[in-house]
Amino acid sequence: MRILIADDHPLTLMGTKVFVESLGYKIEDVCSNGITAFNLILARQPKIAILDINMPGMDGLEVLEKVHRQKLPTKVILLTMHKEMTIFKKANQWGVSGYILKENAYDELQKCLETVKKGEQYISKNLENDLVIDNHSAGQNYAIDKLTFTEKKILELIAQQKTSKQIADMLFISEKTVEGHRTNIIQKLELPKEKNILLIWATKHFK
Amino acid sequence: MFDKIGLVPNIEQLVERIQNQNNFFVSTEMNYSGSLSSANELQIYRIIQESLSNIIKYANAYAAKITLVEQPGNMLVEIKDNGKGFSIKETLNSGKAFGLHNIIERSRVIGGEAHINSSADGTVITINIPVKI
Repeated sequence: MRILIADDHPLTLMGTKVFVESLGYKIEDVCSNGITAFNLILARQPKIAILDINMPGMDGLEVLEKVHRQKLPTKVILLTMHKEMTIFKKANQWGVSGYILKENAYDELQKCLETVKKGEQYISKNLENDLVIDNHSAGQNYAIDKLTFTEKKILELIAQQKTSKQIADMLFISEKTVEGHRTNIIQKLELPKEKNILLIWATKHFK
Repeated sequence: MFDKIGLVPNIEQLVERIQNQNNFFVSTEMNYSGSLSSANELQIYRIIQESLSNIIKYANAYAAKITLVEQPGNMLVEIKDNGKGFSIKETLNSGKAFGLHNIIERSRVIGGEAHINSSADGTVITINIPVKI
């Protein structure tokens, strides 16, 4: 299996190369900027490209984007110090195969390479932790954890005896939106269809 | 990395962070397709960041709203809250309002003008930036 590695810091590049070789892989090419990396991907179609994000010329994300747009067979692993979800989301849009942080690379690169080799996606555990918190607000045991930030905010105001109209004005959203949230909250909490059920629930849980 | 991500997703991320960290509600209405340079987008992001941080620190508001609207030849940025308001003149002359001066100055740098209106019902910062068509 042919692998390409690109990183603009010579020592990191060498370190990654030696480490990946020690895992029993053969490194076909190494380079220190994105443009060369992309040209090598075009010319030699390695199975996997391990790319840094911050590189002169063309950064790792741009290389990924081009590989994605041109439907090249090379699988891209981004090895980066960027933990920001926005950057990961962008990379994910462009079909990134692996996303790991440099700080955890020593523990994760092997697993990542094995996963990507099988044609699956590997996302750093450390990034996924944030993702879980972002999207599912960890642990679904408590009913309240199923609610989004906005829904909780609305419940808080319902508990303060505010009407939908008042809540809408206070939060700069439309009354319709508030009503929509109320319906969703009742569904998520699986509350029975009774009059004022949300107010009763809210006063009990937000005090 | 700001320019890779674009203005709207960056603002969304900022809003999400502020909501979770400060338990403060921010609604958004963003209609923007990229008529500004990324350097100017960054200035707008900083203005919004500064405004929200002021609101959280001082305004005692229930919520804030961020509006971005692209109109023909003009881009409108508005940050409003329903907090207690403040005396603009007094604050600007207090020698301490770096953040506020910053907002005004950044607006000027991108060729726009910041208007600040404040009353006991809240504060609105409006910035109009002419956009070449």
